[in-house]
Amino acid sequence: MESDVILVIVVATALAFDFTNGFHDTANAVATSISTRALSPRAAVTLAALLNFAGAFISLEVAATVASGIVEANLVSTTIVFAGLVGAIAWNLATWYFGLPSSSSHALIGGVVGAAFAAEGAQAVKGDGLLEKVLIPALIAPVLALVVAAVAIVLAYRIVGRLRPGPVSRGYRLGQIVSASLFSLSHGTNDAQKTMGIIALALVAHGDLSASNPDPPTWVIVSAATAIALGTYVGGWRIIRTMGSRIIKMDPAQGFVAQGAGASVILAASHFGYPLSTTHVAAGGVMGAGAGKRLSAVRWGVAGNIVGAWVLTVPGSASVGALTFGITRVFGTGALGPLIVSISLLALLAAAFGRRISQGRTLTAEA
Amino acid sequence: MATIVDTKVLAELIAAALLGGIGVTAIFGLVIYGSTRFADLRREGKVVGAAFFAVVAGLALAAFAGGVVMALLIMTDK
Repeated sequence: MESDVILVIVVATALAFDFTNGFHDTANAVATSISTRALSPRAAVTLAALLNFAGAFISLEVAATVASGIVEANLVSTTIVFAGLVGAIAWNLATWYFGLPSSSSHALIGGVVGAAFAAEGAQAVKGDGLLEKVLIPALIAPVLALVVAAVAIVLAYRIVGRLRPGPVSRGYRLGQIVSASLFSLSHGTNDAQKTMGIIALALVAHGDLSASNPDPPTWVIVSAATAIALGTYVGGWRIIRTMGSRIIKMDPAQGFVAQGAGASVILAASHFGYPLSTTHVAAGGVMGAGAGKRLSAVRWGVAGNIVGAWVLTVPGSASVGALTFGITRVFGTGALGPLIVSISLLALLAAAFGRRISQGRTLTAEA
Repeated sequence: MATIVDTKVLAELIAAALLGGIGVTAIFGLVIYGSTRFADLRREGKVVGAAFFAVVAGLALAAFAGGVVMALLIMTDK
């Protein structure tokens, strides 16, 4: 009975994380389209939400990777999964507070790794899996997106540079609707599945799924798709502003190229089963589209703040995950610890949202 | 490092991303170039030139649509 209560708390927390994931990552798909006025803000988030929902049903490959590739599934308890999710949510909210686009995927992985390490020691963490399936692709993805976008924008300007600007801008704005749609769909295929993977991990720990075959059941897929779509629709507007107008001042060609490069990298990575960060790819694409035009077009101070947040994501969320696991253990191994932490987290969330709304200003550093 | 990282798969990932991103941008650039030149030449009464750029824009648009379909297939074919 007590383990059932913990499982319910874990699933609810996982869906809450999924919501913050959609909320936090809306910017990846829509920031460039809104910035170049290819789409109105409301139309952009509606389109992104619908396609994220659809994308969640397309593939389960990444879900299996998250569930079985990062930590030893047979050593992981539902409390560890819960503590990891709290670490991820805390990091997502902290970066949202500062208007910084950081990786929800890394936050999730870091949180679970930190909690597992605190509970079981180094043996619970699959170092090779972490390196091969997470860290190396995550290093490659933003650099690759930057290079692809930089080369592509040079090519785009060569092709259309001598044409009248009016039709060119209109053409790229139309193209951005297609590229934003693809980006949103591919985001759904990657990120919703990370939550599915983490719920599957909890179900394995609870004994409802086999550790050797942790494919998520249908209710997990539907609820994860719904949570990320709702989060996307609500939209993290401060991060959208950072991605859309604070890294570079974007024209429609740059917006199309940033999204096209990002979608290409994400689709390629999704095809090969890497749980890469769409945020890193999207930001890399935006920086590349600016740097390809002129290096000084990129506000490197803002870019530096973003990269700093990326570097701190895994250790930061891992620390919170480990700390959360420690706090739950103070109240024993039952449901009391997760319950108290959940209530405390909800109270903190309410306070943070209230304060943020009343302030109404971003703390993101300007270049 | 090579024993941990499947360098062949990573190389394929990099090649696919480069090819996709740069290819799609070039093709869509040709759509815009072809359609804009078509409109300009037609306004000037240059029918043959306009027809040529209409064909360029049409072919590029077909290729772009093919790229979108391929992207959708990649997402569904796993």
